[in-house]
Amino acid sequence: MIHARNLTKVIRNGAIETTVLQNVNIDIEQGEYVVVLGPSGSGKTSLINTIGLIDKPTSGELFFVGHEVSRLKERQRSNLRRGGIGFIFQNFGLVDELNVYENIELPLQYLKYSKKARQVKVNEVLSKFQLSHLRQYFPKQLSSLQKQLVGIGRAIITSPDILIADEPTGNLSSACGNKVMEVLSSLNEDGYTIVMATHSALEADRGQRVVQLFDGHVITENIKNRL
Amino acid sequence: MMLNHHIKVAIRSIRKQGIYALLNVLGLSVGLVLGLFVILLVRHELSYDSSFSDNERIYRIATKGVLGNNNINSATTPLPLAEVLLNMEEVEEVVRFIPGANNVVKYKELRYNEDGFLFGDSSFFSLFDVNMLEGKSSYDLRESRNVVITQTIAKKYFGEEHPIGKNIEREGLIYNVVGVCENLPAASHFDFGFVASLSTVDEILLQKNDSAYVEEWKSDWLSLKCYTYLKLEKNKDVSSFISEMNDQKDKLLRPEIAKVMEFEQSTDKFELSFIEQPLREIHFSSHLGEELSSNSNPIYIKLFVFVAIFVLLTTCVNFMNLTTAKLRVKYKEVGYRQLVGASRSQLIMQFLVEALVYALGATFIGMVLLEILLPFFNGFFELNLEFNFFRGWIDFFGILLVLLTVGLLAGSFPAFFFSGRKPEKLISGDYKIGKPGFLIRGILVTSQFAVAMFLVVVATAMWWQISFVKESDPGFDSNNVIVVERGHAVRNDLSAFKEETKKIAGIKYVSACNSLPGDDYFQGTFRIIEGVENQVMMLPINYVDEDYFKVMGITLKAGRFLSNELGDSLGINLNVAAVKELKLSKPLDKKIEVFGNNDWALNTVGVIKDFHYESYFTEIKPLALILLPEKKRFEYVLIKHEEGVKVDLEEVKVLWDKYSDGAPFVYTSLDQRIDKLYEEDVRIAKIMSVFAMLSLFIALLGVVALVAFIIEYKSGTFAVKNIIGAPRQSIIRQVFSMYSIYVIAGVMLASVPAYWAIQAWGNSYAYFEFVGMSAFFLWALTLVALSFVATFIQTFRGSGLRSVA
Repeated sequence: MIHARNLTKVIRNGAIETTVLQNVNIDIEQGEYVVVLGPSGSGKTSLINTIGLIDKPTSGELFFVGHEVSRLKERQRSNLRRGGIGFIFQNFGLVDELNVYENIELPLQYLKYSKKARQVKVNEVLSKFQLSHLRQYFPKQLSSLQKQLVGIGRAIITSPDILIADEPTGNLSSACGNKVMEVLSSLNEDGYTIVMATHSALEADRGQRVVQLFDGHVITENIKNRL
Repeated sequence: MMLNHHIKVAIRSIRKQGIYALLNVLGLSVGLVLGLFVILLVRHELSYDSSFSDNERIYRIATKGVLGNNNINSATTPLPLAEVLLNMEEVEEVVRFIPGANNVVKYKELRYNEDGFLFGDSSFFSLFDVNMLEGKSSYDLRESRNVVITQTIAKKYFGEEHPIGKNIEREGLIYNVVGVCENLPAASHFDFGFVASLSTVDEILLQKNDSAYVEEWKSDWLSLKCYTYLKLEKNKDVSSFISEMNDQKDKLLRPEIAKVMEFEQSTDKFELSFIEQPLREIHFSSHLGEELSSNSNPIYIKLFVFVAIFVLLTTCVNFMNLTTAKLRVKYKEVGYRQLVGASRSQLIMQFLVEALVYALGATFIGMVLLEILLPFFNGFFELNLEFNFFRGWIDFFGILLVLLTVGLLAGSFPAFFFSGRKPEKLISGDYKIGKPGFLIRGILVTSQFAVAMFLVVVATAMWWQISFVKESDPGFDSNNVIVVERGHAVRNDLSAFKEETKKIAGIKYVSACNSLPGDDYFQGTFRIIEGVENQVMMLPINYVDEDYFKVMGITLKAGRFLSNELGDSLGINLNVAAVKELKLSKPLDKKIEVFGNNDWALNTVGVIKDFHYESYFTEIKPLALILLPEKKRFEYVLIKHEEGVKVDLEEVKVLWDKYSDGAPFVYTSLDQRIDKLYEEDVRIAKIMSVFAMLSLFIALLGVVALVAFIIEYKSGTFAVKNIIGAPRQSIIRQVFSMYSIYVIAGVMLASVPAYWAIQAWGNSYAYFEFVGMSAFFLWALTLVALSFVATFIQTFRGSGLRSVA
């Protein structure tokens, strides 16, 4: 589904050049649950942003569902992202002015779904995550776990091809983190392809496959479930 | 469209922003009030004389000419001109009217002084087509002593009675009311309460003169007596018409001039020609002698429009600044929205809708404010504007248009600013405002301060000049003088009235005179014989009695004041300016002949010091004072009382009633009359002051926005400083040093244009006192200080810093 060849990302800041990704090769197939593991500054976020079509690689090739996407313009990448990729953020990324229902509904609105269709889909997600009773609540009235569940609900509302999660448990206690990891696992079981970045080896164990990054290099690929 | 969504989000985010949103909405609504107010003002000014149908074909004829050394520029024309006009094929209609003097109109027991009494041609109401309310079909202004009155006058005299067929009396003549018309709109260059038939003038003249005189009076080309208006036929060229008319009139006028010149044995140049003034341009561009009302100065309108546009623009800019200042929050939100699928156009829509919601709120507040404030505005600025949102579609669409423009302008910058960012930059919080972004904001603050500085300094200079005019010595003493109008009511027994009045406690002197500052002085034509040469000269004349000098406290330079006892009925007092103008080396005992009457030679008995007998707008011109002849009509009785004594005017009124045969007792103080001369400038100064205060408010709002922005912009630095224990002062100092350069630049930039503007404005005065550079410095300091206070409060409020830390 996603195939990266020799991905390199260099960030220029005046005279200083920093290589954040170097010759990264990675293949992600439909239905996989891949964890990108590494300490701070190892390039996890850069890799995940590149795979999520948020950012462009400096060189190398990237195939997304059969398209070569490394040279696409922002507008074209944005079109691929819309509805095709769901994002889960470390700090939830909810819009403060919208309540739970509206936050989850937002992507459908941007994709111009009819009101009826939106209602059906949002209600489905709300009951799936047991959030129906919170539908009128605003983000600041929610616990961190609830916020992240809303964030995940929003990410899957368009039934995207792939879910990208960047440190989804970074702002959560370990108990809440566990709950989120369970939800992600169950989503994977439902057939979602998931790419998650984390620095916690414990969480990495939840994935089917771990790609370990250090200073922009892939060190190991551990395919435990296939063994 | 997601319109619902956008509106919902906008309202919620406004609620969330609290004080900033309030500042934002308040700033916008103040700007809108100002904008709407100026729109009303300009519309009122532009609507002058537009109520008359075919107004684009109506012209007023005015007179230009030269008599000896004097230029003639008058809104009036000779009476016989209309006959020439009527015979020309291009002319559809001609109307003349002569304004009557301020006189008493009586109906039964009611008596009022009326100055809105016109004598007009029978076609008056077909040219000035005011709605006729009563007597529509039957009114007739051909017949002498018929009069049409306005509804206000009808109510004043007749109340609920039916006015048609009633008789009113004026100066011994009985007039028959034949019609009632609507009042002229306030936006007209003249006004009236009564229009009597022009032929009545013959009867008035016949009361005192023979019929030969009346005939001559009516055919006299050499005196400018009436106002003449004409309506051209459709599609006629006015300039060729005017030159043809001037050719025609020369045939009649030339022989008359030749006759007079021969009679006077004068070699002076004497020419008259006529010009046309389009009706709707009179209010704006006509500044001739004998205007029917004080006309407007287009420069004020331009100035107001400029200020209003600027204020609207700066409020929009402030809006942008305040919106983009809260970057931290907005940035991420926009990023998340992009990642959940928002397209660029959807984001732009969201910001525009938010701005429109703000603008809508501001418009609502603005209109409520305007509705509440308009009566105060009207009272304060002495205007007569009305605002009615639903009066017409034009108003409705006008406001909608302003609203949309403001909303789009205000929303456009944040919309394009945010929507164009890349999402990875937005969500990582890795944003930087480049130097240009900061520079642009700084320049906006500069321009706001420049305008605020300009307005406050110009307004200060205006008030300075106004107080100079009021405080400086005009050469006479206007304190403690009561002016009783229409003094000739006591003409018959003036000396007895004066004697008895003087006996009232506190009254020092009583005098009579014909003209006071602000009046048009009677222009007399004199011939001065100096050696063999003689020169013809027009001099303003004031007819006074001998007590005038004491009442007014005029200073004598040489000779003596006019005096009855010394038999000065053929004496004359000249002011110093007249002596200079006439180049009299020995002015005393000089003979001055009245032009056209060789028998009447006046003797110069005294020279008086120059005093401001007109206003500070004009230089002190030559003036001749002549004792009031026995039969001569005069305008005012002046009563001088002791300083600090409250005169019992009831007692004066009793005497007045005794001697005046029941004329109304109408009085003001001389000070008030003189203040009226500068009324227009006081009004403009007031408007300027309000504008200045508002623009100052908006400029300070701009500083608040800029400081909010700086705190965001430098949040990293400030956070570090805070943590390592830097004192608050150092942070405040840094913020202040970052924007003060822009404030100071604005203040400096404005100084030169302000100086020019003050000088340009001062040019309308012949006597002008410049406010002085210290006003510039003081205001500059004040503005900088105020901006510092704004920073101080904002930084100390600490909300910005705490969140950063």
